[in-house]
Amino acid sequence: MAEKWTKILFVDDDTQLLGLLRQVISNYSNDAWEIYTAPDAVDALSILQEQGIQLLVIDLHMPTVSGLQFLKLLQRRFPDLLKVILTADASDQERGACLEAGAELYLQKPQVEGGWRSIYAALAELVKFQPRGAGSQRVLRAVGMQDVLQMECLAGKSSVLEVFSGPTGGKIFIEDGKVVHAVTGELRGEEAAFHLLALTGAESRLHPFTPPDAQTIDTSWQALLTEAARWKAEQRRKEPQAPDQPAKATAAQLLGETEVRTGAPAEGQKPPKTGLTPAPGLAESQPELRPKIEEILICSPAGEVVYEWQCAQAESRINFLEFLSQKARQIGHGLPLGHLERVETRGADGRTVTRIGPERAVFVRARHVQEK
Amino acid sequence: MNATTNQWLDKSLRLPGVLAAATYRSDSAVTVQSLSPDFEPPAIEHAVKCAADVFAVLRFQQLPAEWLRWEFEKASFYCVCRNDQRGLGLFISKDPRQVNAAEIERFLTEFSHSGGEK
Repeated sequence: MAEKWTKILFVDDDTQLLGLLRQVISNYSNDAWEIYTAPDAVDALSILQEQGIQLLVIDLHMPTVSGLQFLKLLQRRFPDLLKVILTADASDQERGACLEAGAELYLQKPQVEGGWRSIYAALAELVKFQPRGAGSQRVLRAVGMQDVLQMECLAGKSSVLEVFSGPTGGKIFIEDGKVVHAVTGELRGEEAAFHLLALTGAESRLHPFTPPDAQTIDTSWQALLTEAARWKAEQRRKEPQAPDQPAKATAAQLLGETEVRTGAPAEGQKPPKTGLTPAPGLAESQPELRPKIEEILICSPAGEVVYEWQCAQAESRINFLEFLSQKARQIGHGLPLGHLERVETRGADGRTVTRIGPERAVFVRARHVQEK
Repeated sequence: MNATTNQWLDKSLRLPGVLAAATYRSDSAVTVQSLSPDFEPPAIEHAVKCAADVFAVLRFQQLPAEWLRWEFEKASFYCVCRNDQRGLGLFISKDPRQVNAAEIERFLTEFSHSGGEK
């Protein structure tokens, strides 16, 4: 039977379904689970902040804030909360997106009432195997000002978000869940908001709302955050990068550590002297392949890009590293594996190697090319 | 699970250095066999399901993979996902005296290429 302390929150805009869930899950758990329900993300957020919820089950397709958007927000704010997606129409693409965004399970809503028993069984198993306590190696983005702003807007609050990074600072005014004004130095309005939201390593502080001297923004907060992310990526591209060579050497070394299966050295690596076996999936008829590095990403455990080379989707890759570190923790739960050293993937076209260390995470993608 | 799946499990347990093995199907059914008391079936089943999630996210990331290897401090965890979405997971000792890496690779390749079997 499930443990007594399990507190579960269901979020779905279908209030009839919420009533049914309350009844059936309560029955299946013999009243051992404390069940909460919310019709939208705003209500869910306040329950999450007030109650010690362990398990959250979210409908994927909700109006205003979708289940996927909500997941992404919660991943940073409540990283240890178990999150499950329920959907009426499952797809492989959505499943990948939801798992990457922090969902532990992606489940299809049953067509018949009896089907909820298997949903309950999956949730109970998840609760049973949830590792508790902080993992030693995790890529986990800290709660940033974007998250704070998002939370304030979602909850429909009014406040002033003060943002500062070194000598730069400014304020973003939120009124009834809408961003109405921003100011930093000489800048005002949207430009000021982009500037503040794109600051690297910024800190933020929430203050009670005071009316601004003007209302300069009427763009939605979602659009503001999207544009600020794009602006930040652009700024990063303009900044001078660290020299490529040390990072490429690190990447080559990482690939070289797994050479026993590839039969050829990475760029800058000496050929191994071992008797080599071709990789699984790389047939023995292709022994003369060598890995050519195509992408490198190095980030801090807080998810800040330290270095990138040909990494067009840095944000997405960081999500992936966050996901991998979460899965490593779960795989190791209950098994005598020790800490994670490396994850390697292999496909028909190439491979990736990821190392998640206490100080930084390194991701390298290489393609198999014919040895000249 | 059918006989062929069990045969894969039996074969994998004969490989040197294998601590535990599991197969899974696209409907999330998992079959586990363990040679080590430290590797209990429920934890292995959970690990294999986690690995199946990773293959789904790799596809979403446009990094399709048929093979995964997790190098932990004390053991390696190999996973192969075939085209028919059946998978095999092996926990392998890190003691080089016990393990024949080339043999494990060959076995995984054989499993990977056996897609379509029941």
